[in-house]
Parts: sequence; C-alpha cells; structure tokens
Amino acid sequence: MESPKQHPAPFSRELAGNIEDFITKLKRGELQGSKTVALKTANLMRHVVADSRWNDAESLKTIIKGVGKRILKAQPRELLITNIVCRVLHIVNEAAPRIEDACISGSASSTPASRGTETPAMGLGSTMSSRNLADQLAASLAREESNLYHIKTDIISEINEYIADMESTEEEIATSALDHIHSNEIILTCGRSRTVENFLLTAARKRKFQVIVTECAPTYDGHEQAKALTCPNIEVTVIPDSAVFAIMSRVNKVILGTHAVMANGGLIAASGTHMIAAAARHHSTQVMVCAGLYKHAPSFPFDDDRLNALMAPDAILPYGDGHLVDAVDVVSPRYDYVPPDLVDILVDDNGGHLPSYVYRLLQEIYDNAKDLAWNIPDQ
Amino acid sequence: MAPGKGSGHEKTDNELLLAIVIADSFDDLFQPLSLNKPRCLLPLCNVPMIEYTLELLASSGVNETLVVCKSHAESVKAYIKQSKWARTHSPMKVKTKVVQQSCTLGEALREIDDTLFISDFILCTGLVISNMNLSSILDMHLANAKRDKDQIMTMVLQEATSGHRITDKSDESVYVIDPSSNKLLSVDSFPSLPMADHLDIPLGIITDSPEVEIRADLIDTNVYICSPAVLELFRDNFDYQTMRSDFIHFISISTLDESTFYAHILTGTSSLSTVPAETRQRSLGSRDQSEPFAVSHSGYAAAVIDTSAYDAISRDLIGRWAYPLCPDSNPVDETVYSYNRGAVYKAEPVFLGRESRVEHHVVLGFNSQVSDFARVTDSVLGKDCGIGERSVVRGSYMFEGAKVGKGSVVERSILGERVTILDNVFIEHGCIIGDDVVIGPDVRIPEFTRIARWRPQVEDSDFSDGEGVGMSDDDDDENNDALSSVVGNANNRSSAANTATSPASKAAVDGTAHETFDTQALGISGVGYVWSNATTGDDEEDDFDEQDEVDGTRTWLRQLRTIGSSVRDIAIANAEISKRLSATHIVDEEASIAVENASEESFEHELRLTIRRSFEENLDIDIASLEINNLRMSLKGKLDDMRRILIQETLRFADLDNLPGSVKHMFSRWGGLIKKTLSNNLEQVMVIDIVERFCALDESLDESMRGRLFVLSLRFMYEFDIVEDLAIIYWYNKASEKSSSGSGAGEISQDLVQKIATFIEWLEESSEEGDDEEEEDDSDDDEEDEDSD
Repeated sequence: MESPKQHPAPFSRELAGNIEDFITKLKRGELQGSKTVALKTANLMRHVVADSRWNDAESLKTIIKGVGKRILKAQPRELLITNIVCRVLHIVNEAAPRIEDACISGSASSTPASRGTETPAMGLGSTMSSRNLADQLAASLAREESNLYHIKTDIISEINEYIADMESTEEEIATSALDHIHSNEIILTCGRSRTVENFLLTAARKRKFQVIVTECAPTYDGHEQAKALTCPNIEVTVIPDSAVFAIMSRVNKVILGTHAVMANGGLIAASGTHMIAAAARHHSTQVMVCAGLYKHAPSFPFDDDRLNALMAPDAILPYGDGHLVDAVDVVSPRYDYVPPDLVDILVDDNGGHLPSYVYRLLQEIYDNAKDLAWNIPDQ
Repeated sequence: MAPGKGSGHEKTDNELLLAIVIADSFDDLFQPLSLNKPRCLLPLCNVPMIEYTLELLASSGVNETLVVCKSHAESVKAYIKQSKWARTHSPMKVKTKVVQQSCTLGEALREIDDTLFISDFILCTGLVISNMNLSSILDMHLANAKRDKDQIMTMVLQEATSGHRITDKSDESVYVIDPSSNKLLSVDSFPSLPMADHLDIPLGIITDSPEVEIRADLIDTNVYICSPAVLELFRDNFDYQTMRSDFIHFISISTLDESTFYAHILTGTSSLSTVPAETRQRSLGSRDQSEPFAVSHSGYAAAVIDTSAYDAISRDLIGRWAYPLCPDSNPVDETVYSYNRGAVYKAEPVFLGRESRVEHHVVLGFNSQVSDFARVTDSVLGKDCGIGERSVVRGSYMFEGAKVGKGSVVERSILGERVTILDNVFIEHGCIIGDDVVIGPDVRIPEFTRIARWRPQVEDSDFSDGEGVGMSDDDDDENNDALSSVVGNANNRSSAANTATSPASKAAVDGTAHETFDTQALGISGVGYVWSNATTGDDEEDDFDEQDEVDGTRTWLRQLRTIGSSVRDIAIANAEISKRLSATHIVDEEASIAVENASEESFEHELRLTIRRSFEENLDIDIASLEINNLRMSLKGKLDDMRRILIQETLRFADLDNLPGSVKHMFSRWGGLIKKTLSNNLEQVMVIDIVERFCALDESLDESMRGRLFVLSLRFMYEFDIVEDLAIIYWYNKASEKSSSGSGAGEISQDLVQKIATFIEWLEESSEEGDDEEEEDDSDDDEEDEDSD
C-alpha cells in the first residue's frame, strides 16, 4: 500500500485517520451487513470529497479512485465498496462540466493577472497597477475558490442525497409490497433481511398472510427474522433448511433478500438461497428479490469463489473436537451465488425489473466502463 | 480520531487500558530458526507473529501496549518503529522494553515498572493469535472484581479435547473450576511423559465449593487479565518463574494467600456472527436486562509456544477457524492474499507450472513458484519461494526465499529463510532447518533433525538457555563473529569450490573449503551443521533429572513440541519410555532376586563401596552413618553383616607401613561409626571376634602383621571406647578357655590370643588401678615395641 506520503493528495490528519480506521474495521470484519458497509463507505467518500484538495474533476476522481483502491484492497470481496465508489464517481462525473466551467472562468480571469505578474517591475510608478494586479489576482482566486466551493458543496449534497436514498430504500421498496403480496398467501423467505422484513410488515398492515422462514443454519439468522416478523397479520413458521423442498409445493411466492446483485442479474445472497431458488424453480414458484439500488454491482460474476466470504467452520464442526478437526476440511460459505435464471423479479426503489434488465439499470446508475475499471488491481 | 471497539467499557475515558506482551519465550524450541530473528518476527502465514498479538490488543481497545523483549531486542524495536503501530493515527501506542538479564517470565515481569500499571491490564505471555473480543472479557473481569475483592486475574482458556492439534502434547494441565462462578480453584500441570498416574487436588478445594469441575480439556491461551496486584506478587516472590505452573498453581492452592483467579472459557472459535452488530446488541439487550453486557464465549485463541503449536495455528488460520483472522484478511498492509477454492491463498503474482498440483490449504507468497509436476499441500510458501519439478512439499513451512530443487520431498518441516534444498533430497517430518542452509543433493535427512548454518553455541556461556529464542546479546555477538569469519573466508579464498551450490548463500559456499560442514549428513554440497537434539536441549528447566536423561524423556518431550509430532507419538514415547524403565526395573528385580539368594554379596559389595567412599571423601560421621544405614534398609541387610563389613573396611584402611599411627587414626576418626552399631556388651564381644577373624584370615596381611594389627586394634578400640575392657577380658578368657579345651582351636587363632596376653594383663591391672591409662597413652612407642616382640 502506498504510504500516505506518496499519495497524490495528502489528506488532512483527520481524514487519513478516518480512512485508516475504516480499513482496519473492514479487515477485522467489524462492519457487517451490506447496508452498514455501504453507508460507511459513502460517508467516508463524502469526507474525502470535502476534505481533500483538488481543482478539477479528474484530480478529484483520481483521489476517489485511490482511496477506493485502498479500501478494496483491505476487503477485496466486498462488492458494496465498489458500488458506492462507482456511484460517487458518477456523481462527480455529472458535476464535472460545472467544475470545468469554474476552472475555465477562474483561469480566464487569472490569465491577465498572471501575465501581469510576469512583468512586475514595469516602473517605479506602477505600485498602483501592481496593487490592482494583486487585487485582481486575489479576486480571481477567490472567485475560483468560491466556484469550486460551490461545486464541492453540490457534490457533497448529491452524496448526502444518495445516502438518504440508501437509508430510506427499505421504505421505498416496501411501497410496492401491496402489489406483490396478496391475502392468505404463503410466502417463503430465508435468513435475515431488513428489506424483506419491511416489505412483509408493510403488506401486513393491510393483508393477512403466512410466512415460512428457513432458519438458515449455521448462522440461524432465520430465527431473528421470524422474531422481527411477529405481528398480528403474519403467521410465522420457522423450518429447517432441509425442509425447503418439501414445503415448496405449498408456497405461493418466495421473497428473498440479497447481499448484492451482479451485473447479469445473479445474486450474491445468504447461503441457502440457491437451494431455495432451485426448489422454487422446480415447483415453478415465483422468486422475488428485494434489493436496494445501491446493491447493484457493476461487475459480472466470473469467479464466484472470489466473491464469497468463508466463515469459521466452527458453527458446523466444533473446534474442540480434535480428531475431526484434523481429519475433515470444513467450508462454511456465507453467500451463495444464485444464477439470474432462477430469479423472476427484482424489486428496487423504483419498482420491479427482470434480471435481464439489470445491465440497463447499471448504465443509468453508474458510468461508462472507463470509470468502472478503476478497481481492477494492477499487475 | 480514536477508533476502537473497546468503547463499550465501563471505564472512565481518562483511564487508559494497558497491555503487556512478553514477546520472548525464554526457551529454545524454535532454534535454529530464531538464530537471526527473534521468534516474534518469524512469519506465521507470512505475517510476523507479533502483528497478530498487537492486532488483537488494538481491536480490543487497548490504548497502550508494552512489548517486553529480550532476544534480538534491537530488531524488535526496529520492526515496531517501522510498523503501522508507529504511525501518528495509530489507535494504539506500542512501547518496547528490553529485559536482557531475564531468563524466565517471572524475572521479566519483575523488571516491569509497575507504577505504570495502576489499573487492570491485559497480559499476553507469548505470541497470542486470537480473534476474541477481549473488551467483553475485560468487562466480565471488572464485574467479578466488584463481587470478589480478592480477584487478581482472569485467565482465558480455550476448550479443546485431548489430542487436539493445538494442545501442548508435552504437558498435561488439569483445571479445577467452580462452574457457577467460573472461579479457578486450582491448576496443575505436569509433563505428559512418563504418564502421571495420579493427581493431587487439595481437599479444601473440594469441600469448600458446592460444585467443582475438574477439566483436562482446556488450553492456556496465554492471555491473562490481571489486576495490578499480579505484578506485586511476582515482585515479592522470586520463586514464581512461570505463569501457570508456578504463579497460578501456588497461589490458588496456597492457604495464606486469599487471591482468587477466574477462568474465561472460549467454547467456539468464531468471534463473529453474521447478524449485524446492532441487531445483536439490541436483541441481547432486550432479552436480558439483568446482565449489562453480553460475554461472548466464542473466540479463537492460541499461543505459539513451540513449533508444534506453530504448525497447528497455521493450519487453523488457513482453515479459517480464527475467522476473520485468516491469510486473506491481510493483517499487514504489504500482503494481498486472495482466497481460492480449496483454501489456497495466493499473493499475485504467483507462478504455477501447467502440470503443478497445488492441492489444498496452501498459502502461496508473493512471487512464489511451483514448477511442473510438483505437488504442494497443507503448506505455506513465503515470498520468492520456489519448488522444483517433481518435488513434493507436504505440511511444511517455507520462509522467504527458500527453494526446493527437483525431485525432492519435504514432509512436515520448517525451512528457514533462503534455505536451499537441492535435487533428490528427502526431508522427513519434524525437521527444522535454519536460515541459509544448503542440503543435498541425494540425501535423506532423518526425522526431527535440526540443521543450522552455524554450529550450536558452546554451552559454557552463562546463558545456556540463551540458546533459546531468548538469546542473549553475547550469543548474538558470537553469531556475528561466526558470520563475519565466514564472510572473511569468502573474501580471502577464490570461489572455485562448489560455486554451483547456491547463489543465494555465496559467502557460505565459498566458506565451505575452509569450514567443514556436515557434508556426510547434508550431502556433497551441503552447507550447515546438524544439531543433535541433546545439545540444544539444555535449558533452565532443571526439574529434569538424570533419570529422565536416561529414559530419553526429555528428548521425547522436546520432540512432542516439535512440528510433525502427532498424538500417536505420545503413545509411542510412553511405550518406549516404559520399555526402558522396565528394562531398568528388570535389572532391579534381578538384583532383588539375587539379594534373596545371595543377599550378602550384593549388600556387602554396595556397603563396602559406600564405606570406602565415606572414608575417601572424609565424610562427617553422621552423614556416613545415615548413608550406610539407608543402604542397609534399602537392601534389607542385617545389622551384624553391616558391622562386620564396617570393621573389616576400617581395618583394611589401615596403612601397613605405619600401623600404629594409622590404626589409631582410623579408630579415632571412624570409631564412632562402629560404635553406632553397638548396643550391648555382647555385641562388643562380637566386634572383637570380627577383628580377630580379620586379623587371622585377611590375605593382604603378612604373618608378622597379624598379631600387631590385632593388638593395636584392640588397644585403640579400647582407648576410643568402642569396646570396654570387660568385653575384651571376657573374650580373652573365653578364647583361652576354648584353646585350652582344644574344641575351638580351628576358630580362634592361638597366636593372636597369645599376642594379646600382655595387653590383657595390662588391662586387668589398669582396670584395677584405673589411673595408669594416661601414662600408657603417652608411651605409645614403648608399647609398640613391646607388642612387636
């Protein structure tokens, strides 16, 4: 990693500490959950925009890419970081013409001034003009700065807006809940997802239905989810993961949360999801995925091993069991990759889409390939 | 910016949380790897080990850490200076303290300035690899402190069944715990060889507690949360050298010291659940309001105490048991590992031959290379490592720059930095090969061999334990000397010899012509020396006695702590040792049978040797008597025999050339010993019998000597109150009676009886007069002349 000294734009101490702290937290795995990571990254990016020195769009983008690279190096598997950084780059790109304007107007006004400074000693009587020149220079610099300042605040407010969107994304998604959930339906869900929780609870205000939650071993997040769904209109049943296929024939709809949505519409979701999606396909049950826009990753899942996080096998095989620990190799993946053909509909802030539409969506939320390539590690 | 998740403490903000890391182990189990580098900077999954410990402390919200180091203190200091902990925005300050004179943990702790540690602190007595959340354990410790004023320590233990790879196979520890309060009532640890057949638990512990758990499935993680009293106790008591077997053991069973210990047992390894932190806290908070915090019993913790633990911990990290602590979490910024299927971690660029097989559980360091048809499993390759064609590396650890040639096999061994294994070498399990060694070609290195670039340190140095990682400065210098001499040789000589061996250690290669390496063991191009396990094994652990040496227990124990040893080895070692023990037992048994048959012989022989030794060493009479009696008791000898032998030996020791003087000396000096065997007059008579027999029959005596010796003996025995005059006269009368009757003529030498006639006469006179003794005493020489006539 480049030390802060070599970094193109030295950050303020606070910002450097902030970045460092964020990286440490990522490495320690203290940041859990897609939304937490996304929000933290966005906050950090806002800090970077606000606190670093730049005077054109390119340098700002370089700075953001540099920080993004550092963070991503700490946790290469975390897709959300890429998403947020790409989105911030997109915001900067949108503001870029204005930055150019500001710079051009600034340099245009400063051109005569600089010309003037080239010939400062025209004569002794030119104190007056030199003062004028100095004033001019100061004024132009101030103007440039104020322009940049405005743009900076613009960008920051854009990021703020983005963060606010992210925070309210669950409610946004939940607004379409009544379109999808009908009375007396049996809905199957899996694991712990705040988005799904909101979605179901919103529907439950108007309608009465039954929810089956798979417990999602070995984390048993399903238990949490079942507890969270407790309300008068929902009848919650927790089933072991192994019963999914057996119960699928009675299920009307599968509603899933996800960690991230890949560019092809596939999912990176809690382990066990693939099995549910496959069972649903077998029974021709509809699979619906609730995911905020920020979860859309601009990359394709070429190597799904690299996208997975492997947890301690302890939950599956107790570490204390010495003989087995030596003899058995246990893998405890956190995520499943669910291919797009098993997903029927993706519901985001703006409504439902088909997985095949995701590539189009990505073009709207992010920029062209040039800016997306920043995260490819240099060899 | 003061990050850290330890903010949940019930501590005031201005109170700093401190930690001590004892970075030295005060033993030599990593030799010869630790010759050039302190153990704490050796790589574990290609990250210096101390980094894990510091990371643990930093993530637990420790504000300041004191790293106590001894060996290679300068390099530890230098490392910390350039590490991320020295950066300005580092959340934790790291200081170093050098304890050059300390040879044990206790001594090191005594050197720490305890004025700094005024509140509870964390003590890691070694290199701890852990993902646990210490701050929650600390909270528990503080809560316990409120209830129990005598609490001085919370010990963190990891649960693992016996035979688990992480257990210290050379040591059995038994913990007695009160399960209701987690109070640690007693800790007992003993070597696993020879197998202990009983366990002592003070009765009070069992009677005082309503419930006790006696557990042998716990492992000391070397993490202790201590109150400041711990340092005081160490300071006050110089006997405490180790933490568990001295400090905790003695204080917990001591009736005088009321201090109590608590145990925190880690039952799982995963410190993280997938539930976001806020949810967890929220749900826990709502569920249980009575407990203000949730103590997590999951977490992985283990200390790198030996190479066997090094192996186990590396496997655990690779197998992700300590998640999020695993190679691809990249604890140091320099490394970027990515996970691939089968737990293969790569730091690109990595060069793999098309036909190479990198199987499972492998860490491939930056720029490492595996050639065609080579196989790697369960191994860690450092930076710039290479494996040649058709070679096999299994369960091994290759440090930076180590290379394996073509067609070689490396099994469960550790190769130090820049080690070069040439072609067709077979390295069996348990080998530890120090930096810069070259091995091969075409040799087989037997199991558990240690090979170093230099000869083992001579043991005359004061720090015999300094051979260990805890190497003293002196040893360092010697090393440097050795190195410079090698380099010097290289400069002086042309590099004609063996230039093909190894470009990596050119100096070493050039030196070969001058230095004679163990080429027989290491192959023609070998550079280095084989260290015998015995020579490196001398350390401060003096609780091993000679008997252990004979059994090989110590070597076995050491081997059990080496990489490549398995649980089966304990059984093998036990069988081996009991075989050797029973061999000695058989000898003993035979001896005892012999004692039954010819008890006198063996007893006599032993006794004679003991007596002679006592005479020669001029022992104190009391000590000599004690020894002799002990011998008699142990061999079940008879008192009569003992007396006989004692007297015979005493007489035998008399110098024949200066008979009167030496006899007088012998009886004056050792008479007391004979006297101790006498209880009544009859026995005194028996003494005279014995003396007579000796004088009459001993082959070493001339005919002329016999009478003289007898007379002199009687006289001095009388003089030094060994026998009374009555006994002598009684004996004389009996002897003359017998001789006159002729019945006992064969038994008692008539010559001798006659010889003492004058002495008896004088004796009878003196017993009447009583006062003449003094005069007689003075006229030694006259008497002698008289007798010799």
